[in-house]
Amino acid sequence: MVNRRDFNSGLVRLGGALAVAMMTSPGAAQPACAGTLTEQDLRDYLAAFNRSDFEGFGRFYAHDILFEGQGGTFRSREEVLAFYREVKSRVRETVTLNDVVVGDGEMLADLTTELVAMRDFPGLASGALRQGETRRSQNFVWYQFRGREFVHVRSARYRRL
Amino acid sequence: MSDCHPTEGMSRERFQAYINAFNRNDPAYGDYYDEDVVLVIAGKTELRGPRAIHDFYTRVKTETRRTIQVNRYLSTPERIAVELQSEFLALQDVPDFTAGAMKKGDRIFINTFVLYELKNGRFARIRSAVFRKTETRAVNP
Repeated sequence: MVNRRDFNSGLVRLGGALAVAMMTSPGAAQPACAGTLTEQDLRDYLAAFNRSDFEGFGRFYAHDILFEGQGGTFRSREEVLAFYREVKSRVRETVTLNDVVVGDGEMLADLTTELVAMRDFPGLASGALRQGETRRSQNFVWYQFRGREFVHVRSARYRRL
Repeated sequence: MSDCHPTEGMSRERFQAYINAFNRNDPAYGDYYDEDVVLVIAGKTELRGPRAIHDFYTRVKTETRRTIQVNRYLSTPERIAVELQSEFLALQDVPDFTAGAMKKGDRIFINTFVLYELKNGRFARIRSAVFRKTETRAVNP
């Protein structure tokens, strides 16, 4: 039996892990979809993100991107990359794609994020991590894109794993 | 739909009809659920079957009036992704509303990202995550 408190608690649960956006390798897109982004682009992006290829995944952030992630809100490509440079200097972040729904100019991805602290990270937005600790979460991330660049990224915490 | 994306599994119009039924408390919204539907709210609250969902929302709606608006809509043959904006209007004092205690007339707005998995054109699995919550308080006389 589910009580009202459980329901309400679920509704207001905010916070969580880091959002990611996607990027593609130049040759990966199908010809008919060259001007937009596909599921394969998302997979390529995640691979670049997971190996900390900043130039790779950063290339597809619009210069004026609005990025509303679990770790903060950022208003340019430079701000997002600066954020991830700080995060990745302290934790190893691995993002796994569980599901995705792709439309014209936008997509929603169901992602699992695993953070492993390489050193203490007391300032992590989702809660302090000590060296060696691991945190996993599942997030729904809504991407809106213009051509092959993200202009708006929003992350919603689904659950802590 | 462009050539880059598959044909949709449920039209936005049909989905909007579901939301409209929900907003007016029309039990017809239950017709959209597969008999084995599972609804998971924010990864915590899990409801199994159309009856459980109906009973749950019937209880919620005794204290608040929930009005849902569809902000964004994506559809593939087997999936729907939507951004919903829900307004909760307190019909009475709800001191234990964990979004924050509500007094009669207070309003809470919650934006959620929701994934629907389809089976034979009906919802078989629904999962929602909260993106943002805002609220306004009733002006006391």
